[in-house]
Amino acid sequence: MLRLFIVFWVVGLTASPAAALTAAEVLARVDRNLQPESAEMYRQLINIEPDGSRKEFVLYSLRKGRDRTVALFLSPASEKGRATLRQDDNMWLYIPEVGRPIRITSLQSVVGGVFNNADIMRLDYQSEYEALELTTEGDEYHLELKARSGAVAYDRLTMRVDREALLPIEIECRTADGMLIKTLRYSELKDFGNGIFRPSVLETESPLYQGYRSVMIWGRITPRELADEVFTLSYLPRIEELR
Amino acid sequence: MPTGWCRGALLVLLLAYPAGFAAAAEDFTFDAAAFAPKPLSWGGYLETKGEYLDLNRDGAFYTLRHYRQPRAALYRLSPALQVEGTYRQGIAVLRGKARLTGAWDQLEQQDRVELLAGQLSLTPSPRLSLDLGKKVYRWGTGYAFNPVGFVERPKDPDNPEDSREGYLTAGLELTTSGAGRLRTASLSLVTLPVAQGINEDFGAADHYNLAAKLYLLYRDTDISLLGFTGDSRSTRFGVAMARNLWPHLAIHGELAHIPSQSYRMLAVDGSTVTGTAASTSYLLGLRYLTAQQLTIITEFYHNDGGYRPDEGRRFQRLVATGHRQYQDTGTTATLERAAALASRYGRPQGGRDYLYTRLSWKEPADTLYFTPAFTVIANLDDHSASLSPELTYTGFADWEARLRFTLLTGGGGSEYGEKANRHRLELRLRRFF
Repeated sequence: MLRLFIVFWVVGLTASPAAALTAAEVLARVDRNLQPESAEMYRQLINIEPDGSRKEFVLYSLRKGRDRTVALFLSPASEKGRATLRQDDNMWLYIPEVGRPIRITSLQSVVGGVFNNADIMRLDYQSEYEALELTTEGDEYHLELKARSGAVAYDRLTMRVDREALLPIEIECRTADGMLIKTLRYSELKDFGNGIFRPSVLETESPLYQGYRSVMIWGRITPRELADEVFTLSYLPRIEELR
Repeated sequence: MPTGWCRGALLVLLLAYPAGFAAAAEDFTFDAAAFAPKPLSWGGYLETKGEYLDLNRDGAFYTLRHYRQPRAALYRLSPALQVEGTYRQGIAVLRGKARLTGAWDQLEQQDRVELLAGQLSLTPSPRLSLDLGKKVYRWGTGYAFNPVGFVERPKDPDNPEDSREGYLTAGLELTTSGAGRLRTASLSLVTLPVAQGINEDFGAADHYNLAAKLYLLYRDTDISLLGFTGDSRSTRFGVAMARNLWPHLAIHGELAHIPSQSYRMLAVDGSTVTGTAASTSYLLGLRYLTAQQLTIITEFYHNDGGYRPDEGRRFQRLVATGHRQYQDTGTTATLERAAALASRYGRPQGGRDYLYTRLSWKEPADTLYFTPAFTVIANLDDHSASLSPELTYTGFADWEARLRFTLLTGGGGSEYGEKANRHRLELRLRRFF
C-alpha cells in the first residue's frame, strides 16, 4: 500500500509540471524519453508486402548529440557492411563494394519499403522540427510540428503524445499542402534498462504504398559515450569495430 | 531526467491505466542478442553472369581480337565467387577479400583467383589508425571517373561499384573532429613500394612512393587535397570537393595536375612517339534526387592525357593496314604493334572529354525492390556513346538480379564505333551469404 502511495506521489510530481509545459518543452521531453543523447542501438526493420511476404533488415546505430548519427547494416547479407553517416544535413553512404563513402542527398532512401532515411537516420524531432502548437485532448497532447528546413522528408507532423509518459503514440506526416504521406504508430512499451522506458515497435503505412507496411523494432538501446571522430568519413568503414 | 526508479513507477501506472499505447497488431519480436559481435565474421556472394555479345565486325578492336577466327557473336558465361572476412582481437583487425572468377566463351576459358585485399588494421583510438598489407584506397568524389585516384587501379565506368584489387601499402590516418566551421580534419599517409613481385603493375620497380590526402569537412563541404610523389610514377597533385547545395542536390568535382606525365602515341607519319607533357584532368558532377525518387548522376570529365579523335583514327588505320597485311601475306607484325598500343587506345574512356549520366529510379509506381536505370557514357569529341538500360530486382532475400542491355553507337573512326562488340545483353544473378 505504501509502495502504491509512493508511485502515485512520484507520478504526481512528474505529471504536474508537464501540465504547464510549452510545445517546445513537450517535444524536448519526447526526444529525451525516446533515446539518450549519446547511445548505441540495435533495430530491426521489416517490410511487409500485401501478400504477407517480408524483407528484414538489422541495423546497428550510434548517435551523439543532436547532429551526429551513423547506422550500419548487419543483415541481410546483401546489405551487410553498408553504413550511413549523418552530420546535420550532410549525409554519406558507404558501400563496402565501392570502398569509399559517397555524399548523398539527405532525402535519399537507402532501403526499400515505406521507411526512408528520415525515419532511419532521425536524431531528434526537435532538431528537425519546430513545435508550433500544443493542444490537450483527454490523456494526450497534440503537437503541431513544422520542418525547420527543406532537408527533411515531411514538411509537417501532427504528433499525438501520451501526457503521462511524454512519449509519442502516433505521428501523421504531411506535405506542405497538407497531403498525408504516412502514419507512424508507436506500440509495445518496453523497459530497455538505464532508465529508458519507451515504445519498442514503430509501424508505418502510407497511402502512397497501398497494402505495404513497414515496422521498426528496437531490440536494445544503451547509453554510450562516443568520441566525435567516430562520426567521420575516416571511421565509417570501421564502425563495426565499435560493437 | 527521471530516474530509473521513477520510470518503474511510471510503468506501473501505465500498465494500470488505459493509455494510447497498444500492443502491436502482430507479435513483432527482435532478439538483438542474435547479432552480438563475434571475433570472426565473413560473407560474400556467388555470382553467375551470362552475356550475349553481338560483335562489331567493322570495329578496329574486333579486328585485333578476332582476326584469326572471325565470328558474328559470342556467348559468355562468367561465374564468380567473392569471399571477405575479418578477424578482430582487441585493437587489431585482420581483413581479407578474395575473388575467384571464370570467363567461358566459344573462344577461350579463363579462370582467375585474386586477393583483392588483405591487411592488418590497428585502431588504438578513433583518432588514429594504421594499416599494413594489401588495401584498397578510394580517393575522390566522382562516381564514374576519379582523376585523383592516385593509388588505385582504374575504375570501370560501366560497373563503378565493383570491387577492385588494392596495392600492398603501409598507411596511417589521423583524424580530429569537433564543432565549428571545420568539423573534421583527417590526414592519410600511404607508402607504396614497387619491386619484383610487389605492386609491379603500378610503375617503375625498386622505388618507394608516398601519397597523402588531407580531408576537411569545412562549412558542410568535403574538401580533399591530395598528392603523390615517387619514382614509380610521376609526381601529381589533386583537389576534390563535394557539397549538398540543396536537400535534393549535391555537387562534386575533382582536379588532378601532373606536371610531367609520360605518353606513348602514334604520330601523323605512323611512327610511335614517346615523351612527357603536363596534364590537368578534371571532372564536375552533380547528384539530383527528384520527388519521385529518380536519382540523376551526371559528370563531365576532361581527361587531359587522353587521345584526340584524329589520333584515334590513326590507330584504327594502323589496325586496318595490319589486317590487310595479314590477309595478303599472313604477317602479323603491324597488328602486334597495334596491340602493343591498345593500352592507350583500347582502355575504357581513353579519350579526352566525356559526359556520364545515370538515371536510377528507385521503386517506380510503388513497385518495391525494382530499380530501373539508364546509363549513358558519351565521348563528346567524336559523338559516340554507350547506352545501357538496366533493371535490378532485390525482392528475394539475399538475391540480386540485374538485366542490362548495352548499345554502342557511333560511326567508323569513333571510340564506341570501333569497339569489339556492337550490343551486349547481360543477365547477372548474385546470391549473397
